[in-house]
This record gives sequence, C-alpha cells and structure tokens, in this order.
Amino acid sequence: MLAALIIVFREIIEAGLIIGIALAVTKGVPGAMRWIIGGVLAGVLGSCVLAIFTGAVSSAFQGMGQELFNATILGLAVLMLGWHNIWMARHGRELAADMKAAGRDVATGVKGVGALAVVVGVAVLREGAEVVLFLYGIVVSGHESAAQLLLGGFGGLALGAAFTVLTYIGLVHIPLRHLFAVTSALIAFLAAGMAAQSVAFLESAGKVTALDQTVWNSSRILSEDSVVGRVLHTLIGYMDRPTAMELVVYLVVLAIIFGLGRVMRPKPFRRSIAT
Amino acid sequence: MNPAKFPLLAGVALTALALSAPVRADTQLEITLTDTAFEPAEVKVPAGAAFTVLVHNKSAAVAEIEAKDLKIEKVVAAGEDILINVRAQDAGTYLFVNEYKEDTIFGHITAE
Repeated sequence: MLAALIIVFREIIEAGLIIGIALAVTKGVPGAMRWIIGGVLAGVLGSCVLAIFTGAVSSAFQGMGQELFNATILGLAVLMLGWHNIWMARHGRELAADMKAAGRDVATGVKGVGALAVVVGVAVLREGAEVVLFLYGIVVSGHESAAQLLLGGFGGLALGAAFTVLTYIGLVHIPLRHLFAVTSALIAFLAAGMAAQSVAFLESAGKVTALDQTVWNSSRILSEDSVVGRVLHTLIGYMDRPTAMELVVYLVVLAIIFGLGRVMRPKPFRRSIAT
Repeated sequence: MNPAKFPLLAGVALTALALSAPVRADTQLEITLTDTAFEPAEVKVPAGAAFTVLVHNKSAAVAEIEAKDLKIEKVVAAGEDILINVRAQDAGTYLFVNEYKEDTIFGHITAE
C-alpha cells in the first residue's frame, strides 16, 4: 500500500506544485478558479485518453512517440508560461491596482489565466497517464491486495493535492507588493526548467545530439528523483546530470523571459512624457 | 518586430535544429519483460558509447520501464515493443525496473 502511495505521489508532485502556483498567481482574478480547475479536468480526461492509446503513441515516430509527445507538450507549456509572464508584466500593475476595486473587467483577467490553464492541463496530462495506467493495472490484476494498493494510490493522489494546497498557502502569504515579482521569477524558472526537460526528451528521441556531454553529476548529493530533487526540478529546473544543450536552453529561455518581462514592463512615468 | 514573438521564433528555431539532427544507433540491447522478470536481467554495454534498448513486453500488463540514473522512463503496453535511446554512460552498474512492480521486477545494465 505504501509502495503504491509513493509511486503515485512521486508522479504527481510536479503537477501538484504547478497547480498551486497557478492558483496563487491568478488569485483574485474573476473566474480564474474555474479556468484552472478546467485545466486540471482537461488534463485528467486527456490522461485517460492517452492511457488508452499508449501503444499507438509509443510506436509512433519509429518508437519515439512518447518522447516527442512529451517534448512537444512541454514546449507548448514553455510558450504559454513565457506569454503569461509578458502579459503580466504589461498588465500586472493594473490588475493589482484593480484588485481593490470591485467589479473588474472579467475579460482582462481571462486572457492571462487561459495560458496558465493550458500549462496546468499539460502538467496533469504528462504524468497523469502513468497514474491512470498504474491504478488501472491494479484494478484489472484482481489480486487480493488490489483494494489495499488502490487505497495507497488514492492516498498518493490526496498527498499530491495537499502539496497543491501548501504551495498555494505559502505563496498567497507573500505580501501583495512582492507577489508579482516572486511569481514572475517563479514562472520564468518553471519555464526554463520545462524547456530543458523538453530538450532532454528530444535527446532521448535521438533528435538532438549536439552538445550532449554531461556537464556535472550531482546525483549522489541530491538525486533528481528524490522528493526534494523533484520539487527543485519543477521549481527551478534542477537537473542532477544536465547535458550542455539542456543547460544552454535553460539559460537562454530564462534570459528571454526575464528580458522580455523587463522590456514589456510599462515605464513608471510613461504617461507624463510627451511622445 | 513584436517582442512577443521572440519565444515563438526560438521555439521554431529549436524545432528546426532538433529535426535536422540524425538518429544515432550504436550497441543495441534486447530485453524481454515477462510477468515475473526481465530476461536477461543482467546486461553489459561498452562505457562511453550511446546505446539503444529494445524492450519486448511479453507480460500481461502495461509496464513502465524506468532507470533513474539513465534517465529512462517509458511506458510500454502489454504485448508491445519499445525502443529506448540511452546516451553514453560512465562505467558503472545501473538499475532498471518495471516501476509498477519495482520491488520484484528489476535488472542491471553494466557499462564497462
């Protein structure tokens, strides 16, 4: 039972963190909760569909379908996160100011939230299919211990949900004037980590072979697969054995998102300057 | 140019780069997964060279082939085969498991 709990929890840590961040980032935006929950539900539904077509996905692209699928959806998530951060840089201040006023324009908020809903959906979809397959496997195995295992599996899901709540609570306790800076940085690192991981999948698929030497090996100090390693992997893209290419992509994406956030930020005294 | 298009362009450039690279094939291992074990469970590859692993899932259930240290994590449906690319590894012994039954179904790849 404990084994089942750990397997499921391990798979969903990342999604749990990302949902928590997304909820915190969009706190106070009207209708945001519905979008994020919609993203989660779409991810779960997608996971079930993906689980059914596991064989077909695997055998696609000369057996590299899983890798390319993961690389693609991670790439999509990176674009969405980047776009969200730029959007927040432009409108974040207005949003924060408006938050105090009631009856804010719903349409304004929805644009930024939609991108995050996609990111949440992708996060759930990625590991969700494995959880679905695992739980389904237990059910059809019909072992005497199936009920126990299933209980463990759902315990893992509950633990993942608790992780979401903790992340959310931790973030919303940050004072509002710092929240924007913190979440922007978080999302930039999240995106950079996902971009590097997308590259890792392309490397596994044999589609990227340049700069494939391992830069360092810190797996003995902090394994990427431990709970702490997984959390750091999601939050800042920690890799215990990155290739040079993964590192380059990580830094480039980080620089682009930070840079664009800075460029797109409205000048404080823009309105007083005649143009 | 609209700065908002930068990430998109970067993505496109990256994809183009990705698709232009050739697939490498060096040593290929072949491992069969049964209901109770990997066969063979102990295999060897040359250290410092990339290799591929062909896994036949002859067990009755879907499996997830995982080797944390080799960065392998791949699902294989019952009765299907999967091909896994592994990049060059330092000499050493690496554990691989069927994650869904990791306590009983495992094996080792030794690079030397």
